[in-house]
This record gives sequence, C-alpha cells and structure tokens, in this order.
Amino acid sequence: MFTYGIFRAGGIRSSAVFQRRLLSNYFELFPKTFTDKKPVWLVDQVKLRKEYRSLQAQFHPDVVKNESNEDQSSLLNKAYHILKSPLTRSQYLIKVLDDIDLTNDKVKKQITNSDPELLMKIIDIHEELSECTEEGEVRTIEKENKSRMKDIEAQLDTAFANSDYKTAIKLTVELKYWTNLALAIKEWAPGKPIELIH
Amino acid sequence: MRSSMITTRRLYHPKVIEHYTNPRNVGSLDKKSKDVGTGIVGAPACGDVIKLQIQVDDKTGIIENVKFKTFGCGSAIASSSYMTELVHGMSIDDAAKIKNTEIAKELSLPPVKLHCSMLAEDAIKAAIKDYKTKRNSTVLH
Repeated sequence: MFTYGIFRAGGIRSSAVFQRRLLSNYFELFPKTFTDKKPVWLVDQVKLRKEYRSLQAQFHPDVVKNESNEDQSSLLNKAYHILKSPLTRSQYLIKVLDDIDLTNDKVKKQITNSDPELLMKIIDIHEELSECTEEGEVRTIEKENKSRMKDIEAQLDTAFANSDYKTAIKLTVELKYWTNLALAIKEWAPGKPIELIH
Repeated sequence: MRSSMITTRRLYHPKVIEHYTNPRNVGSLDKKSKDVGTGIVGAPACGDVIKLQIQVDDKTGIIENVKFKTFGCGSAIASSSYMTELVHGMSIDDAAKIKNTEIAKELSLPPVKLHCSMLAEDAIKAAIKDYKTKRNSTVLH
C-alpha cells in the first residue's frame, strides 16, 4: 500500500525497482545522505548531490546499458530532483507523512486555507512585474521574492521539526505561489505578457 | 523540460488562445465601493490566482460591469476572460448558477485543465458572496 503510493507519486512507469528492493520512500535511495532512511525536511545539499552523482555513475544507461539500469537511473533522477528543491521536498513529505497530495488539483477540497490577503498580494506583485519596463525594477521584485521564499523555508524548518503538518501545508501552498512568481520573473521580458506554463 | 513546455502551448484550443491573446475585461474596480463585489481565489496545486470583480445595480441585481486579473496558465486566463463575458449584463442570481462545465465546453478545455474553469466558477461565486455581504451590512444601517 505504502509502496504503491510512492510509486504513484513518482510517476515511474515500471515499479520493478520498488518491488525488487521494497523501497518505501525516495530518501532510502540515498543512504549515505539520509542515514536513518526516514523522510526528513533538512537536507545536506552537498552530500545529496555527491551521492546522487556517484550513484548515477553506476547506473546511468550510458555506463552500463540494460533495462533495469535505465529504470534505476530515471528513478534516481526523479527522486533527486524532488528531494533537492524545498517546494517539491515539502510537498513530498506532506504526502508521505500526512497523506495529502498538494500537487493534485482536487486537494482544494481537503485544505481550507484561502487567505484573501495573501492572494491579493500575489496579484499585486504580478501586476507590478507586468508593468516593469526596466531590468532593475525586476531585480528588486526578485530580491524581495527570494527573501520571502527563504523566510517560508525557515518556517518550514520549525513546522516539520514539530510535526505540525497543518502549518507545513499552509506554508507549502504559499511557497508554490511564490515559486510561480520566481518562474515569471525568470521569463520576464519588457512588454511580454505573463503566462504560467504547467 | 523545454520541449514539454512547447507541447503544452500547442495543445491549447484556438478559443483559449483567442481569449488569452485578446482577454476581455482585464482590470480592476474599486474594491471599497459598496456596489462592487470582489472574488479572489487560488489553486494550491498549480498556484494560479484569479481576481474577479463585479459592479452590481442595487435595484435590479444586474451585473453592470465586470473586471478580472489572473495570474496563471493560458486556460486560467481564458476561463476568467470568458466568465466575465458571460456574466456581463446578467443578474447575480443567474451568474451564481454558472457551472464550470459551461466554460470548459466553450473553451474545449482538456480534462487536465478542468480545474481552471472550476477556479473561474469559484471566483464569480466569491465575488457575488462579497457583494451580498456588503449589501446586507449596508441595509442593516
């Protein structure tokens, strides 16, 4: 049951790897980084990257070509990218620990944190961004957004440390909105309309 | 990543692209005005946000003016744009009955984008609710 959930979350076509190794979460794929194999919020990024690279060196299809290596390689890739970034790691932790999938469109029915003030702020900042004519103005918005995201990540430290998933969910949803803003900032060009691609 | 982005773009129906490139009723109304109802809704999964505002004739209950601002994907922008077209000149009671399926059908939204039309439905409902709340509190005075 648990394994099936992970398999679905990972969207890996073949569950062969999970079945063979009875893997119950992505953290277990990196035993040197996550020594107790349990889902955890705080990640040593340097360690994780190093372990990921060394594992990929073993399993990458360019190194040894066979089907199970390809499965393992794409699984590692998927797991690494989910665990590396704060937003996806937090979404994954909430799914594994609290059984709520924040990436599912139907999640809206499960959580009731529509904060009109926050949403208004998001709309206002996007408007500001769309009205920017110079690179300098965009960099100011970017700087503010980065510090906002850092602040949310710090609050997530506390929420996960206390197993306070209600707060973690609220923060993660907010982080999603600001991550979208970060993408819009990246795509910014003078006069270009803002559109999210997902 | 890049190639999937291009594919997503291509999948839009011409009606979505038409609304997206030429959105109707973009803008804002005075939030503080007592005949204006503001609905602001967000989708936690994709991070899209819609703000939809209606200006209502107090006597007739007809939506005389409507504006929106959406930060989101092309389908969310098109859904809110089409929603404003639909409700303009409509009574708030009729507008409250609009179902997302009507929008999804008009714009030929694929199943993965149905939630965008749902968000537009949530937005008009929230705007009507806000207007009614304001109106009731005015009547009480």
